[in-house]
Amino acid sequence: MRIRENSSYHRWLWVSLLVVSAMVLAACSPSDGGDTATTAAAGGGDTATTEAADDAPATTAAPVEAITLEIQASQPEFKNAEEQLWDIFEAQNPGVTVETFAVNEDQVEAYRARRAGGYAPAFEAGAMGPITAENAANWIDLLTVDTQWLDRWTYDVTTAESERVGTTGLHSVDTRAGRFITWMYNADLMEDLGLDPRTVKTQADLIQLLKDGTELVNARDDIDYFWDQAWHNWMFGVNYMGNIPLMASDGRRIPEQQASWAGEITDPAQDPYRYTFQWWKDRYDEGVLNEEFWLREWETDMEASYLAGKSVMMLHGPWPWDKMLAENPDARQLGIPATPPLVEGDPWVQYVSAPIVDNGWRIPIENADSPNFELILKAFNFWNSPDIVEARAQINGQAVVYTLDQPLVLESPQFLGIVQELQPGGFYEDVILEIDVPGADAIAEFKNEDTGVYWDWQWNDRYRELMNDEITVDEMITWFHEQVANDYTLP
Amino acid sequence: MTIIDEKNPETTSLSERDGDNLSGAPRSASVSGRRRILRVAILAFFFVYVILTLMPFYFLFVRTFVATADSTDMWWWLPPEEEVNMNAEIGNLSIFLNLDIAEIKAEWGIPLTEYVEPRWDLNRISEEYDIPLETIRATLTPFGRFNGWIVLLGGGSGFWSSIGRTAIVTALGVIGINVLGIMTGSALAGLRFRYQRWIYAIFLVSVVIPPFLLLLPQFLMVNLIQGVIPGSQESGLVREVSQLAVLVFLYIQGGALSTMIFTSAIGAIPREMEESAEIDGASRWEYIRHILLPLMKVPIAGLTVIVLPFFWNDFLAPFVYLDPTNTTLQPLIQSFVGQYTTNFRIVFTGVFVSILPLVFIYIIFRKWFVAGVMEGAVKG
Repeated sequence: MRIRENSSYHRWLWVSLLVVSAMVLAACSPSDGGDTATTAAAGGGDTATTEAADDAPATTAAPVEAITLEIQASQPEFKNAEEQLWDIFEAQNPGVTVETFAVNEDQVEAYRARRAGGYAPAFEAGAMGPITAENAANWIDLLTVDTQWLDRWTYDVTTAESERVGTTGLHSVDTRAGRFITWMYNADLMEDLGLDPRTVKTQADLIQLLKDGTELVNARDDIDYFWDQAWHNWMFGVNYMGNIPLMASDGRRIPEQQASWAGEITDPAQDPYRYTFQWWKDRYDEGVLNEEFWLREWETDMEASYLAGKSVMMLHGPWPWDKMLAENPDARQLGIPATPPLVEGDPWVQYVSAPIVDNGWRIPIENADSPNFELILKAFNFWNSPDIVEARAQINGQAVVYTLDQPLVLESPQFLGIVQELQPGGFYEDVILEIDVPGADAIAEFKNEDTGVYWDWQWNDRYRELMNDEITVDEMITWFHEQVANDYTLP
Repeated sequence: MTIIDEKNPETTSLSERDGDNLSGAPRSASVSGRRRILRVAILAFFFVYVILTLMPFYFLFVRTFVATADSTDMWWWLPPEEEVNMNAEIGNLSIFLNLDIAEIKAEWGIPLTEYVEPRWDLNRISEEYDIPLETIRATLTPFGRFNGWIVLLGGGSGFWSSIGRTAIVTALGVIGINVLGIMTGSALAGLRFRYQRWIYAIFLVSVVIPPFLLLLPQFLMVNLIQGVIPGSQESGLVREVSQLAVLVFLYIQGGALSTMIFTSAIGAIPREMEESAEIDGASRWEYIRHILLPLMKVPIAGLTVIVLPFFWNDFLAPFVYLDPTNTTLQPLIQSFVGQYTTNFRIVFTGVFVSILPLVFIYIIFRKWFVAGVMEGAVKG
């Protein structure tokens, strides 16, 4: 019995040891948010002398209380890189610690729940969704506080939001210019196959390229796909949908797409999205599109395959260009504009998403009464100052709608591989850039509350049905308009 | 000794039947051979079973070393170590390999306030800051293969603090649910008052309520309670502790499982034991401490075995109730999934490492768990 008791005693010792170890770990280890512990240990909490930070020269090490600002990173991927910028801010403001946090797309709802519960970071990016006339009061009107640099935007940022979504004032700003979705390809593999995408001038050329490439790849064991395609709600529901109609010469451009969303085009035969749905259907029937692409994973199937050199082309945004370079810094990548014209001689139009005027950086209204508000505003102004905007542009590889102190020379691989070719003197200098808001954004102010985002409609189910001839293109268009009618109250 | 085989009237000795007679009798030799084959087959079967059971863990371990670019290939062993490519841009390394630039700057002697252009490749950084290429290689070479391990276990990922929080919440949850379960069971079974059955039934009703239905009302209640705690809406220790307390509360709240287990267990204890303890002058607490608790080893072990992995691996509740900077293991691992990119090495390393403490705990306490269950089996 004595032995059993000792054994039991030892087990409880183990338990105690584990719990104590856990407590020590939690208390002592540097955490992602470890600086909050520092704040608490310093006894400062959030009561702080912001004037000291404001007035202190960058090199002055005046004793100040510790303040922690929680600031959202623009994207999870850029969190580490952006922290380097906040290191500079911290150095300029002794006693201030900036904790960046990221909200991934699948964490948005949890973040919104926390915000609804009263939690407010110093400032945040677009995790709370676009500004609307109804929700604008949740953020500080940047026109009523000492917001700097607003004259740097290349458009009148002070009125853009109110014109777009009917708000009073300005509640968010974003310096990023539009985004390009283009064809991108592994230039080494393409050369190895003996193909030259730069000979493509029309849709027919593009389709022939896809057919030739698919045939060549099918005869090889070392490459799995020529054009690799997987499913992504947002890419199909937003980007591909808006891009592909631009191949048509009969005015299927963004204003027509806006008219479709607004319910002004009721005849499916006239609907600009006919081109989108029909295009996917035709490519699927031709066999150049992956079998059951709506079931393929975007990142783990498609992108991983491209990074591994097992596929040649993708129709994609800026991100995988850098991703490829991270995996293989010597990789050569080039691109072609997304939508060669259907008819030879017609203009080649490339869509560029419009600058974001309603879903950028913003300061939660809860901060208005914070003793740290001046410091928060100072951080906000720092974030939108010319040097930092330029650095951010280099991080995310995107042009800006903002006048910098010197011309922005982007070094991002997508810029070097395709975007710069769209500029005067470039190989695709004749391509017309269509810059406008997508149809859904144009009717954003009429969206019903609590209806979710439109790219999460059951697009992949409909695509499956369309590809398997279970529904027609007309029925797809009709279904799309039914979704709009459900989620929006159009005037 | 000789026996008669009723089906075969020929007599055989026991030693022959047992195969001990190796004098050359063909039948006994074949029986012995068949038994050996059977044993080998059973051993082979279990060997294969064990291999199949361990394979996923092995492949998970291997995957902690496989870069995203190689992830479409099957890897039976660790991929070969790659040399650092000096054309790699530091920004891309920081973004896609989750490198902490501040740490790297410190190691290379670059002031923290010096902004290193993310598009600069390693060659250029070497030139700009006069850092020997060998130093850069020495810093980054381990990341080629051990990226997941270094980033996860390094200070910047928040891994250690999150595993600490997970351990605290799990430990308090397991202790709490057992204590509350015993108290509830004691009340429902031990006291046997008039409405005991109805209350017991109400507890059991909670089984049929899907947990997701409770999410919103629970969230609103928690918000309401947290709203009145001073300091819980601002970042700091109060907020962190109150969030963790919420998590523990959610784990230990009156659940059907613990109620069912302890009510049944306590109900099976003869009433006379409690009465004799009372006659001997034992107080209620003494009865619980010296008689009831020792008898509760089986249900405690059973409930712990069930809830321990659930608490440890819980994702939803910490995801909803904890801030990203104050989170537990599973949401932390999930946070390594980017919006457009995922560093698979970190994710796989996180998953692999997260199961190790549980395995460790089960190995340490396996005798306790098994003894508890077996004790119950023998006693019926």
